[in-house]
Amino acid sequence: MSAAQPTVWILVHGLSRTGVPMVLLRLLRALPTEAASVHVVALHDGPLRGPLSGVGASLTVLEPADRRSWSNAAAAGLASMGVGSWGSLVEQRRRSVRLRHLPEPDVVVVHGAGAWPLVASVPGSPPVVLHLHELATGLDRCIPPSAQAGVLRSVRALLAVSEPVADLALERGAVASRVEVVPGVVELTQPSSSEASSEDGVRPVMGAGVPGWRKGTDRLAAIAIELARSGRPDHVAWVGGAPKGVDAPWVTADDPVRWVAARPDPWELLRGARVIAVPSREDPLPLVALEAGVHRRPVVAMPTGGLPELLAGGRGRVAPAHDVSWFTAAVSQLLDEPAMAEEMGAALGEEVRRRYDVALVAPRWWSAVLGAAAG
Amino acid sequence: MSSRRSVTFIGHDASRTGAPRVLLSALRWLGRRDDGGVELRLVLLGGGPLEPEYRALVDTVVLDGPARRTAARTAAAAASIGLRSIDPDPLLGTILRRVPPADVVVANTLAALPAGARLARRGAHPARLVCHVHELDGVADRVLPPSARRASMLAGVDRFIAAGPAVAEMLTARLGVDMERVSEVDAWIDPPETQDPASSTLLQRPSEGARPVVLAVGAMHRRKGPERFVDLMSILGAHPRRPLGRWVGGGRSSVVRGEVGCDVARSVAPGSIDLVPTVADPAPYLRSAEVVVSTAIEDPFPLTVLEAAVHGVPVAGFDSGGLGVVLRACGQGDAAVAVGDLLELARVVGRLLDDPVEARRRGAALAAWVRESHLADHLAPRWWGAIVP
Repeated sequence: MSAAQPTVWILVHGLSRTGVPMVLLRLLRALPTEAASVHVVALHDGPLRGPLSGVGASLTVLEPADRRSWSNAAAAGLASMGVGSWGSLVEQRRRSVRLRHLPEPDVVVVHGAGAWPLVASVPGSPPVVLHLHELATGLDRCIPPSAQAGVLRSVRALLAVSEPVADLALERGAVASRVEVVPGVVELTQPSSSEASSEDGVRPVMGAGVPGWRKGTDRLAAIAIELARSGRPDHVAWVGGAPKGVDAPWVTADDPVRWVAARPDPWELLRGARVIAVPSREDPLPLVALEAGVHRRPVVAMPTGGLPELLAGGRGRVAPAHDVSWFTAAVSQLLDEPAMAEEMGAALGEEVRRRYDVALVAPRWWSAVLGAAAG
Repeated sequence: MSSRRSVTFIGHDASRTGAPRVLLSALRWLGRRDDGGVELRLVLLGGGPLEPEYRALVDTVVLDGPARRTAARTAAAAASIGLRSIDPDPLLGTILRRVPPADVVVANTLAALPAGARLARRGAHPARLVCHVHELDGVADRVLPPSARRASMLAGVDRFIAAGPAVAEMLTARLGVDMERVSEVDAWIDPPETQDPASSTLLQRPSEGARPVVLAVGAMHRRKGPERFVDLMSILGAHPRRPLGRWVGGGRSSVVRGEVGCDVARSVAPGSIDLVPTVADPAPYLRSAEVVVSTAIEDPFPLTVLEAAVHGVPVAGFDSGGLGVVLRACGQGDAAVAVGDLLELARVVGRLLDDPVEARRRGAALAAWVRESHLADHLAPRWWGAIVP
């Protein structure tokens, strides 16, 4: 390890405006001095490239956001010929060459399991900190189930974004003494105006994120149609774009949900909502729920990840099971009872300030990183 | 080429899914017709479990070799780095040279149309090109993405056979095909082995304890909505008869199967949903069900609906494609709910579980309708008439 500040590499899967990269950006912004020794390596490019370029010592992006690189395409071609291991070697070699300009790390932080494949391209054998932002399906997609126990046992420290993520890590083989919960964070310096936006796209019930199975956005149609049946048409909108690819047929010509494109600050629209809906099937700790606290908006959520703990004690409503009927009734109740909704939003705001303020969480995170570097 | 007229069918694969099964039924019907004046051939772009049954009926060639697969994957990898002008199936033309020319080429799905068009253009005289379209918009856009190539391919088709009114509407309203070039022929099924609907339905089920079975049949694709089926069963968990959900279809290891397995584990009480891989004959499962549901968000004419109906099992589901056609024809339009309206679907299914007499009445009406209008003998002649006018 070098003198005062260790050299830290932080590996991240992509630079989209989604939860995992956003948390990294906030953590680094909260520690400007410490971030001076941080080199961020991103597998895929994205709109956070600009903001992240300004906070650390360097930012290296290995692959474009919207298509494959030549080496990645070559690897895919080799895999299609049944020699996938050669393909992996081609990619690993190319990445190692791309990272040669960086100073060797004293510690590596894998920020989200999606970045785990990059570990093979790190020089030397520095200690690794894994900040896990995934529940079961996400983890299985990033690290093959057969390799998980070995990976989880190999890391010097395992930071989990919520208790259920920590439980999953332990169940899959992590060493209990190395596991610590370091949650997602919010920046309280954000303006928390309660003024509703008048933009098109604002609806009384809104949510945000990348639409798909994991975020449960297919459930929005059921909620919107039921609200319309009870005299509340055009009540549901989602910020993050419409479903794409195999999920595209969800959006029918007379779709009852308003799908709004992703934007740098979704709260320009979301703060016009009276209820924030989190219909996720699998979500470790969605930032939109934490940010709802900053903006004092009530949240109705499905029981996944850290949401039951976040919203317990009257801080929100969590379905007892993944029951869309119950969820819709809870949304209706909050629309009917604005005083209760306001109280819930305020209580959530207090909790978020107490436990998820980046100013409080970032030093804990950095301390865990330093602890791992020191052995 | 012989003096007999020749018809070559091209299918995308021989899986136990809708389009290959309709083609199999059609070939069986042609076999019963014993039309010695026509030489039939089948070309499959991929294999599958129906292959032996096809081979027993017609001369069948499967083009699914490792060289073609590798070439196609390499082309896909090249396309992914922006080289989009590359032929997505570069060896297909070479491989198709093994197939003798024909008078008529029938692409059984839009997915098979590019190969069908190549085959039809071979030989001294271009063949009549027919496309039996079994897709709706989402799948159509995936297998034949909107482009000048698609437009020119559709323009080269002499006759479209649309598998139901929703497909015909897509072709004419959204894909720009003249109505005069489209023949609408609903999907159909083979006659069931059990001819008496009363003997196959509600009173004679394998034991499920006292729990009624709510069944869905289909591949584990998002299009079929297996995650919505789990959500439906989660809502129905409060029903006093504690229905058992059963999904039949799909492999054991796909991404969607993994997701649905997680959904089941976290959404419903243990033992409330049973996931059964694809079976050769779903009829015993259909007969064991008290209600069959379709949670598909896009399905041109689900055969499961016809198969459930022919066994006298009541059906409910999202109003996509043929499901609504069948239910409205039988005066049961209330059981076809708007796509995505899960809560109303739960109410419809709940009412059928509450009232077995009404459920039985609905099942019997569906069975009578299918037996009168949607078996191979009813619709295959219209299909054949569009191919060989």
